[in-house]
Amino acid sequence: MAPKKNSAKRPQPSTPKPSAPARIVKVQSSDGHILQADVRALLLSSTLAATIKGYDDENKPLEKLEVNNVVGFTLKLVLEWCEKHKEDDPAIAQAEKDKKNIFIPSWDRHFLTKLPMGNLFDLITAAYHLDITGLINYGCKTVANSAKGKSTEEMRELFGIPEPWEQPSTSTATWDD
Amino acid sequence: MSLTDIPDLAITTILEKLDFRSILNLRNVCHGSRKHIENTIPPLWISRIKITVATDKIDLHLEDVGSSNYSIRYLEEGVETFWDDFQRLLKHQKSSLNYFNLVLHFQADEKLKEKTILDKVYSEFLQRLQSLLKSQKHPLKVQKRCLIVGDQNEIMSILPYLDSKELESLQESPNLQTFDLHFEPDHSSLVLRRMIRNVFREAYVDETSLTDWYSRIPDSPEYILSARSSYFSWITFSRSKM
Repeated sequence: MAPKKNSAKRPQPSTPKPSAPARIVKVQSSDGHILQADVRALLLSSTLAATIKGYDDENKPLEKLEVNNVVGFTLKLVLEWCEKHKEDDPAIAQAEKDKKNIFIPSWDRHFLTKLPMGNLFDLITAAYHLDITGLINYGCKTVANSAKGKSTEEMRELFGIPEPWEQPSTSTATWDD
Repeated sequence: MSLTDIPDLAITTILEKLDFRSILNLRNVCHGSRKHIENTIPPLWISRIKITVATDKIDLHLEDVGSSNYSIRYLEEGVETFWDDFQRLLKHQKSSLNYFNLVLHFQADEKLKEKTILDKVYSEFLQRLQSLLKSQKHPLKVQKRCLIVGDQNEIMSILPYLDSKELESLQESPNLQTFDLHFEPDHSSLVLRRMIRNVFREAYVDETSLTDWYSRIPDSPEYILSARSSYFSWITFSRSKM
């Protein structure tokens, strides 16, 4: 699919509202999948925002962004999350960055908890590579919530960490060096 | 992908969002998680610590600033684990506590136990607590209320451990407002009240029929120490402005 709008296009005077027409660009994953995204959604990623700004500064048309460290499956999740949050005030995510207790909105809770833990880890890793503060916050809080109240054994299972064969099966302090 | 494959920074962020009990359990998940926790010391913002000591168990009850609360129980054989964990907790704790409660708990049938056994359990506990608190690089700070609950006779036996040194280590924060001693009343013995009376001399009975004593605090022209006792169950030391 060709992008609907071109970067050269100026905002229309007839649409002064914040809901300016979406500027769609292609995004290519490390395994060659090509997806599409609204530039405003991509700006949530500081890494991609810098690249986009580079194009805009040089007045070059931006047709395709390459994301070399995220595979298609995960990138699709990232873009879905960004699309949902493209109108967010970035100050909120910044303020929540160091907080222990943050509230995860219901859409995000549903979106993140339905993922198997392995995929959630992939998503968090991608959020770090792309520097998306809000997704890092909610992703990490979701992992922390799922660990809450779990024993050491249950955490091992949840996080995909093999049981050390020399370790006894109690959850009290071991590992005394 | 497993937890060990994600970037260190992400693990740090996850750890920062965990409560103390989860940190303790995660510590034992694998060598890497333990190392990471020891290197980064994820911060805790606990607002209330309540320790309930019985002769056969210790309960550590914690309340986070986000108001979630949970307990960890240490049975007799786990007492050393309690001390290890408590020491770790002090290391992770970043904010002042609002409340520190220490309850020396008696089962009804424990009254029948030999007093020397009870004395030993509680005085050993207090001694250890005192030396642990004293050894902290950053003392445990309590902002609002420090509460010690025990049997009156027991409180009598622990008072030597609660003298100025103990209070200092708990009270490092100059803002501590209140220090309570609650005790099971022993009507046959009013020695605790008598002792306070001896220290403070004059008492004032206020409108709620509580007995109040007041004293100046050395080097503190602005504040006075008031001790307030209800007939039965407690003595409260408060700092009040003149």
